[in-house]
Amino acid sequence: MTKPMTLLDKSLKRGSLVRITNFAEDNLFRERLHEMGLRVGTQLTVLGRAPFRGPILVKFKTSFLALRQEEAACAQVSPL
Amino acid sequence: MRAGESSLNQAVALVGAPNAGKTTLYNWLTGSRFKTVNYPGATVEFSLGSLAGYLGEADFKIMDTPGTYSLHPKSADEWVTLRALYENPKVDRVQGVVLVVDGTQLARHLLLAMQLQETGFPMVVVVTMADLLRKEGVHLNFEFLQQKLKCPVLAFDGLLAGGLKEITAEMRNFKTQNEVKRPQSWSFDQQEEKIKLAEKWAEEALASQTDHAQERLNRIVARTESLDKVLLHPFWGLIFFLVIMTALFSSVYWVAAPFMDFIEGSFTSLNEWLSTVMASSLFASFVTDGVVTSFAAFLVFVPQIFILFLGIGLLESTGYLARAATLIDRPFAALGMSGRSFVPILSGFACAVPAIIATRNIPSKKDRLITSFVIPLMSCSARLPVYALCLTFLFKDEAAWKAGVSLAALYIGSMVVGALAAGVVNRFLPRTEASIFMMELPIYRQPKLRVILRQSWTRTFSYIKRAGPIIFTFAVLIWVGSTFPHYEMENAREKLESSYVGQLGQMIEPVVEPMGLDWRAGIGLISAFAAREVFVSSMAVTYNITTEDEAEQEQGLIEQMNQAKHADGTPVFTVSSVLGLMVFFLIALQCMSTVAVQVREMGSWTFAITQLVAFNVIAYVLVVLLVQGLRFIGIS
Repeated sequence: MTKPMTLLDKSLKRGSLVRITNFAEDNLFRERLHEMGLRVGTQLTVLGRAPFRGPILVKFKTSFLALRQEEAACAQVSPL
Repeated sequence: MRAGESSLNQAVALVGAPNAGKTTLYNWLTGSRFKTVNYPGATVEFSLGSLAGYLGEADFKIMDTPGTYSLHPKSADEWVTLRALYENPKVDRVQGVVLVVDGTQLARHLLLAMQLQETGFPMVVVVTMADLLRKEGVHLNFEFLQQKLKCPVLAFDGLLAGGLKEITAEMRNFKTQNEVKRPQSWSFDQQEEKIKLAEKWAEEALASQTDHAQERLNRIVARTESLDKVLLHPFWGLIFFLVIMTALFSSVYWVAAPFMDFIEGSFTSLNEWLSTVMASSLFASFVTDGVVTSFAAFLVFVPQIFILFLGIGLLESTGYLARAATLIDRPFAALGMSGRSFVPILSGFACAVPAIIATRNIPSKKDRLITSFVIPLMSCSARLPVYALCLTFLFKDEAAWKAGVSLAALYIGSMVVGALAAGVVNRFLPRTEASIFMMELPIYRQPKLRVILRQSWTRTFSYIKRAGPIIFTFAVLIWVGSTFPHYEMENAREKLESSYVGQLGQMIEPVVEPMGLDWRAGIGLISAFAAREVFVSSMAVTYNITTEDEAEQEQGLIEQMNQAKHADGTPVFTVSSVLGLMVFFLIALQCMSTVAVQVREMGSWTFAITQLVAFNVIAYVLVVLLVQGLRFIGIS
């Protein structure tokens, strides 16, 4: 079985549109992502990455979020 | 804080997510009658203020709380908000909550409304950014939201303060209070359901009175998106970051300079005037050489502190600081910190005390600890007068750029030392929990100058208020110690040498001697432990500046330093000893307020004492090695 794709996936480029399919683990990151208003089914636009391979930048509706690698890995997605 | 005056303290709490516009509302609600900002003095940090005069009298206070996304705290900041609501030491009863939600982030911010609703606190929801929405022609259906949230929902315009009267009226209506419950945590499925519901409500509230509401909202964020393409760009983002930070720090010098000259000039004139009106007496000497000289040396750099606070406030309110934190997250993570450490560390260049408090925003314990550990190494404004004195001494008749470059080197040096310290602690400290960064990047906004100016002024003022008594105490101590017991002596130098301060200084001379300094500078170093800036004023007193014949205080001190000799006739202040002095101030932890706030924030004496001893011992050893090394290779 292949691992589900996450926000970290290399195929995701600037401007890629994805939908959250699940959360990888039920942990603090999941809780925070929920509190930020992300849920299963939320559509995200990938905006790129901060320098030095830093946080991943995403946009959903009118919000912008910067997520670290571990945090982004918690969000499983499928491309739209 | 003097909140405990009336018999029963009641307060209305402002609660909301970070960047929702809470502080702006708080500022308008309290006018000039607010008391504290997030600043030391109480165990729980929140701002408490009275309703502004133009809004009428009220039997309740207004309380501002740190931004939070939920009532299930993940950072120390969020804990403060929860405690402020439930276990407030200063307020007997929180009679209601004003929940501040950002109109452009409605769906997400309604989640907190749902949570608060479950607790049973009487609530008013205030929608901010009304001006932004109106400009794009978005009209919210407030009645619909009221019906869904079962509480009043009002608009607030941060620029013109529209809606203030209505909000106050609703606050007065918080009368009866049912039993308040602790927040219940939601399960995974509940979370999902609640978000969906919040999205549905937000969508209906937006769409029912506006065509193409989503498109209009998108227009609001379009500018942010295109700005971020540059400001968060892997290459250009860093360039802009460097430019913005350079502009911030250089403005601390260029913009502050005329104000500093003015303050210095005023104090010099004051001293001249005082010495003409007062007969030459012991009291006159106390006022001029003791009190006025000490305060002049301290107040002269207040403009710099103010400008630094102002600059940080401006960057924060535009939304840029969240970007800066994102840009810097990766390098900071390598040092065991996070991008969230950026703002506290930046504030550390103004003053370590509010900076250490600002670390509450960092959710992970380890990140926060390392950040607090290195903050005292950042070149705070109290070191400025010392650096300024040393650099003036070193580059007296040389081009101004040399002093400028050296100052920049000192700043960069403090960052390098900070990075090293962080790296070392990071290696030895185990990580016990996941580090959260996750940062919301707010929409770029025009800064609200009025609010920021006031906030910077309050921060600066509480800094002066805290330092003032210490400066005064030491001015008295040093003046008394250097004047007595032989106050009648005519020869100033002999008087000082035989004084109490002189005796103490000679006792510690063996310690400061390897640093290339004499006992008078040693006295300065000891008094710097009250506050670093006291160093300059106590140097001024011990090297016995007589303001009557010196036109300008600093020039006078420089002259005295040039003439100061060791017992064997060699000069005290040379290239090596002055360099050593600067390195000492760069590393040593000489600020007792910092130690006190460290103990309180970290809840550990061990941490604070270890830091105090380590920084000072390391500083001392390094300086001795540097000075003796330089002398060994022939640089006196």
